[in-house]
Amino acid sequence: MEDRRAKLAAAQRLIAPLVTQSERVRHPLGCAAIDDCLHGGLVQGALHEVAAAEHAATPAAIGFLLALVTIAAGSQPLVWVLPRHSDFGLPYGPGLKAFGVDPGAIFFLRCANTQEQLWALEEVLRAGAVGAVIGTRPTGLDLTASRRLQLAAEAGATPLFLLRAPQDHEASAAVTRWRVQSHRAANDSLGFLAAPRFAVALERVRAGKPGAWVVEWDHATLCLRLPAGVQHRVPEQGSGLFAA
Amino acid sequence: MRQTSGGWYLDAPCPVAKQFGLYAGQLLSDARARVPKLITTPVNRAQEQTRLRKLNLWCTRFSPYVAPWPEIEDGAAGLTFDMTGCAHLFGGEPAMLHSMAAALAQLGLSVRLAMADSIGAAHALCRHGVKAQIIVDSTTQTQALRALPVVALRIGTQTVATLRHLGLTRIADVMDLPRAPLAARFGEELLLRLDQALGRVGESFSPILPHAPARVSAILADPIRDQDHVLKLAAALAQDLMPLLERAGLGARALSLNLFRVDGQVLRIALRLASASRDPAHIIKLFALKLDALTEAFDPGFGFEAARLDVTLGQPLEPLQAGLAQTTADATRLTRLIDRLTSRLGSDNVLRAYCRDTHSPERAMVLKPAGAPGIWGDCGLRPLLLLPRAEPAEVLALLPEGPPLQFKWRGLHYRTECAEGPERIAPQWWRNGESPTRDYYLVEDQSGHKFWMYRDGLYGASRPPRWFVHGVFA
Repeated sequence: MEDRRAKLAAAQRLIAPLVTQSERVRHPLGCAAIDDCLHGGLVQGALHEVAAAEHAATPAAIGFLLALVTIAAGSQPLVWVLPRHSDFGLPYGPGLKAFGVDPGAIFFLRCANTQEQLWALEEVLRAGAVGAVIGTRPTGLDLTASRRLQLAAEAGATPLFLLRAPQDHEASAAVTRWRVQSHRAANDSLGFLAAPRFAVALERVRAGKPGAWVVEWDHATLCLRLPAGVQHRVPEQGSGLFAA
Repeated sequence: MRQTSGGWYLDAPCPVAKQFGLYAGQLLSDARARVPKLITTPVNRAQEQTRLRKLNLWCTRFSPYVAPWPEIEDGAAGLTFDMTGCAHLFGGEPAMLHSMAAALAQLGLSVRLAMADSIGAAHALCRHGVKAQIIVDSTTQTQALRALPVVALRIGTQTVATLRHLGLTRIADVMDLPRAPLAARFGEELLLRLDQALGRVGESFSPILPHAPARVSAILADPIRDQDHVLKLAAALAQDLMPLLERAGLGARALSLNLFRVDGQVLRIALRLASASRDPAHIIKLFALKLDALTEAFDPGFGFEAARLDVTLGQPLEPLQAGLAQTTADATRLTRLIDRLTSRLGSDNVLRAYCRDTHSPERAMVLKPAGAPGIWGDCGLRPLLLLPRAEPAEVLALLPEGPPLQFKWRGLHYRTECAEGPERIAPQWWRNGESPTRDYYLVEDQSGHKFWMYRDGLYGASRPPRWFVHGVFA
């Protein structure tokens, strides 16, 4: 056992210089269970993908994505590359404000085609001038293109959060991939909706381990927490486990 | 030829037609009687004006201050140039006139050029002088004007006719007369025009290009066609521009690159910056993005032979000190990024959200080209995503004056588990076609999907209320 530990330590020393500077900056989510799986938190200069478990859960996926963005970027300016078509409408300023995101800090970009969209994402990432970039993963984005985005995120030390379509099975170079299902919100003592909750699964994480939790977003303190007394189950794609 | 109430008249006969004795203003029937094989086309003033304007733009390669004459006289159109400080670029005044004549002749135009101290004298010599190219200075100007007919003074036809009737046909005849009787007989105009021609009274004109705080130009020995060469040229111009801006204490907020084609067309590439800049590398990057976006619209024709870079809008910019604060560096990086995005995507596609003081939810936010950040106060309970248009929902069961218990939206059934509301939003009565009073509810179904729904209208009103989904919550 001692021998194996020493070997592991030696191996870690060996790869230490290969870990880029941007990978060393991590943003803890504030929930010990999740941060353990993430090796300390979300990597700053990296591509993160968030997918809805089913089409109807897309708003929930966007909500969870924004929670991650807020944790990673704080009050820095953001860039949101708008999709050309969205089934659930466009981001709404007053709603963003209510969620805890300052709409005035966001630059919205509209692109004519996928090519322009990828150019814009890369340009913004490499500039390293904003806190985070939000986008929609173009359908059929291949591994090479997604690797390009990952490299751009590393180069600019800027996190990129892409919303992934529920049925998208294409391979990607994302450092983390989350799957989100809608969940009943927390009610306060008067029965009013107090804080949105999301059933999330960490499906993929580089050098970490997957997991599944129900998390609650506190829009006042801008942090995620794990509510007590909620059953944590893995939301499977399209299974509707949480629908019953 | 042109049509008037009296019939068709000749407008601008060509030199050959003039040899046959035809003149401008002649009745077409008379002209036809003289020359039966006369070829005529109707005048198209609008087309002439646009062509003149294009020519005017192209001529800004000689001097930035050019304007067309107010009207086309006897079929001859003209341009007024302010040549102050321009001639040395072409190797002196005679050389400049030669190169202008040569360049314009290449466009297939027959030109007459006159350079004088006053606009009036230059105009008179150009229209009525003997030589096709003439330069007069303050000493020879008066002498040159004396021999010209009075019509060269830009005075009304009525005055010309009266003067001719009195036997005053040349400018010399009018010049030597006492002024007081002339003013009494012909009014102010004649004396004013005479004084303007002689340079006794100042005269100004409005060039079509607005004043630019700084501009630099280059004339090329050989025309260039390649996009890379254009960029190199623009880079050289931008380098030249910076000392001018620095001396003026300005940064560029808007620029335009004018590329003059051999065939008389001008390609104009305009650029706006998010904040004043004096960095040639940044400006060139933006032009490169603009040129890339042009693709097919980038048409060099037979090549560009001259270029000019104008700062169309300048803004005071303090000289930057070494050792910038980190925040300033971050801000610069951001504004430069926004500039690059705006250049490539267009300013309508780089947007920011601005709050509007209204209760109407669909009007509360507006996306506008990125400028200063919008200020957002607390807006209350609002959905994260707003549908572009509220969509009708079929309500299957409800409490009277309450939220729906069961509803169908986009073909799916939802059962309400929890609801919050209502928030009543009254219509803006001053807007036409505004829907009736709305009661908004946050409705959550048993799987946690949250909708922002409203009831359109009140119970007991003339038509039954309808339900709509207007947005979704996370």
